[in-house]
Amino acid sequence: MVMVRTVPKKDFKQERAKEFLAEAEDILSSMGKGLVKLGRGVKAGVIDPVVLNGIFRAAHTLKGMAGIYEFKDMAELSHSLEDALDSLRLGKTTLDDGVMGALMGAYELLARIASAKGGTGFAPELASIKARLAHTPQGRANSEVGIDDELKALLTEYEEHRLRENIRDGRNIFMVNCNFPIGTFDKDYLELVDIIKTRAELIATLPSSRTNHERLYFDILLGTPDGIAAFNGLIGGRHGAAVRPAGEGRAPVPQPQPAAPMVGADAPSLRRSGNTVRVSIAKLDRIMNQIGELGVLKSNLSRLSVALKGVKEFSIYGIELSRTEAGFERKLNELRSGVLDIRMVPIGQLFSRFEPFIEKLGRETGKEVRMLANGEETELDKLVIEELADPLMHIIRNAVDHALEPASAREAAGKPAYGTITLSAWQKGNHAVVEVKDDGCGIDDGFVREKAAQKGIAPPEYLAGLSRQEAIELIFTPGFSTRDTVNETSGRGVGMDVVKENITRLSGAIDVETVKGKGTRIILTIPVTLAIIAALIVETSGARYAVPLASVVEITELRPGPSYPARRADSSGYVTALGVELPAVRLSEFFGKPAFDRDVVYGIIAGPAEHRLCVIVDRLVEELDVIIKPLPRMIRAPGVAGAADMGEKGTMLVLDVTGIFEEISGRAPQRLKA
Amino acid sequence: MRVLAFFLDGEEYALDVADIVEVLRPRPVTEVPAQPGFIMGILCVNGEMIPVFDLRARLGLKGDARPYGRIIVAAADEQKAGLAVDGLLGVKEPPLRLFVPISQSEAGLNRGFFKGTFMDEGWNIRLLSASGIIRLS
Repeated sequence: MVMVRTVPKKDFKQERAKEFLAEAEDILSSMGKGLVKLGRGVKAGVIDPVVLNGIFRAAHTLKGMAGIYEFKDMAELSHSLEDALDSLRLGKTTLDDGVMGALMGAYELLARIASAKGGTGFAPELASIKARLAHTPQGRANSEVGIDDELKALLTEYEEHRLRENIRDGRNIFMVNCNFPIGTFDKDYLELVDIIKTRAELIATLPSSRTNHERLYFDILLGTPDGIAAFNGLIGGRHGAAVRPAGEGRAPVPQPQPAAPMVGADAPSLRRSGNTVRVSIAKLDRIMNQIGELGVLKSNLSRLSVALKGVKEFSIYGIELSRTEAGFERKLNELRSGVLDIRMVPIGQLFSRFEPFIEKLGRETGKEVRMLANGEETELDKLVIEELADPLMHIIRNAVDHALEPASAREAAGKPAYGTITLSAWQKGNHAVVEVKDDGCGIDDGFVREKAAQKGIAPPEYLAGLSRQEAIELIFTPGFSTRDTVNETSGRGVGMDVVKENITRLSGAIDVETVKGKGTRIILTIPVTLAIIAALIVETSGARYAVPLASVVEITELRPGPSYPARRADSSGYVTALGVELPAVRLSEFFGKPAFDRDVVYGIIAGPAEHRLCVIVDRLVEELDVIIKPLPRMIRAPGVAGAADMGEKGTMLVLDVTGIFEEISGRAPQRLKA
Repeated sequence: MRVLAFFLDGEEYALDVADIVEVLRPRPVTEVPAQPGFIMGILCVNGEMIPVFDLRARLGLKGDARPYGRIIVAAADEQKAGLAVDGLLGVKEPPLRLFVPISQSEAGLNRGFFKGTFMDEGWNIRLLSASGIIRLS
């Protein structure tokens, strides 16, 4: 809603267009495959309705998407294509070589528009293709096969057409009555359908009026060359299925029920995809906000019940109300986790986008590259997935470009001539680990040191004192790039410092492991969702803050002593923890508030290894899951990542530990002054 | 023109109702460190974090600080802010012919906070500009 409107990404539209074009490519490639199959069918005189439907669906999806993203030419052409395909699948027109040519022409033009990124100048061709699509021969008249009127009333135009075709082909038409428990009907239904499809064409699934609270009843209309006994044997009585010749003995006449599942779409194949819906994240955010508001209402109820309990004659109602409120809270939590769950998508969606990308990189660099993917089912928040796309792309680009050796060098080193990029993901607590592994030459720390010295990143004596791992991590330093020449792929890319920045923005960490001659792993650890985080609530100088638990390494109790030189004049100092001296900062002083005098305070050791610090607070309060929201745009607060609405507990600031570290270590002097 | 009129230091001010999202009763505002003095903090309204301004301080009025009576949530240029005011007078419809726009020289001086004043015939309301107040330069 408003949140979405007030924090637009600058390149949001462009990003979406990019996303669309990537998806359009996928759709077009499946459409292309379908058309090839269809073409073969036309020559052989057999047209597979499943293939035709697949192409129709692809055109339909493309039309919708092109419309949304305002690719006018593409929308117009896919619309014409969809119309032509619709007439074909309804048997209104006949598919011959001429029509096939028009379909192929439309497909090729669509592919060209897509690769021109929706560019213009296709108008003349567009017009001619559209004209060809519109000129298709008339099909057989439908009236030559009669259908029972009662049945006809239940069927869509397409289903009716398929029924006629089946009758015309001399197949037996059966009705299978079946029923499923509501909880598992989708799975059970698909299982039964899969069995049916081995020997029959599924013409229509009709809901039955016998459906009750526990079981859903369906009548499946099908056409098969088998006899009734053979078909009964195939189904084997699964799910109470009984096979009857259509039109006779049909148990209680099914009434059309528009609200029932499986009805409403206009073809069985479209229906199958009806099990899922696409929802914009903005809508889910809106629901999330409403859940937040319900939480506020809940706390009002809670106040009311406490008040009622205090009044003698009403106390019984107060108790009743608080019980109701507890139930309400439980349901609310379920609702919240349900909505969060909807936002989760498998990372395989993202991985599969990289396959053509890697192939293209391989072609550009003249290297043969293969991609492997593991853990595609790992789920992350859709927004996190989208935020990962660019960093992963840069990492992969770097790997293909710099890490993978030419085939000859690989063979000389005893490796396969082709390089392999392996994308893996797995869940680790409320984080996901995403790894890009290559089997290239590894990173040479000596080379990195040399480059860093050349670029003036640090003096040579400092560089010489670094460990091998520390030296390798210099690749994440701004201004570092081992590139000697700007080339086709990495030349357009960005440095690893930008990748790191993007990952840090997701509250994630990036690590590198490399073995010379064997390969490199870049490991990203990111929260599975940005919307909700587990937080440690702390209190200092009377104010409460949320610290993302993901960043917390350890919590220690601090008493004045050698390890904790308390009451220093400056806000920062050092404490010894985890066996090392860490920079420490009192949160109250960092935020410019008067410190309360306390004997015992708590040190929260947090942050990624190289940015670790100890934040000193007065008190630990509790652990909570919080929904983190961005601060208003006009407010810039170093060390604050956002705010969390806690309902009855008010609004709380969420700390950005890395931001605090950067402030106190003076890495952002320009911000300190501001 | 319909305006929402309110009090600040005993004077009458108003905002165009079209710029107003809602009016809230006083509630705890979360302080954010390192902000200009007129930003009291942030508040969660309909799931969105919005800043809350001490309108008296924002306008540079000298009066003593006192507890505010209402927070007016106003929107301009796709940004929202809560404006803490002493109390509401309600929605009014002052006749447009009584409106005296602020002069160019004055507009520069008051940083675009004021649009002008409805004067005479018993009216004396200063009309504020929501976008001028919300926009931070």
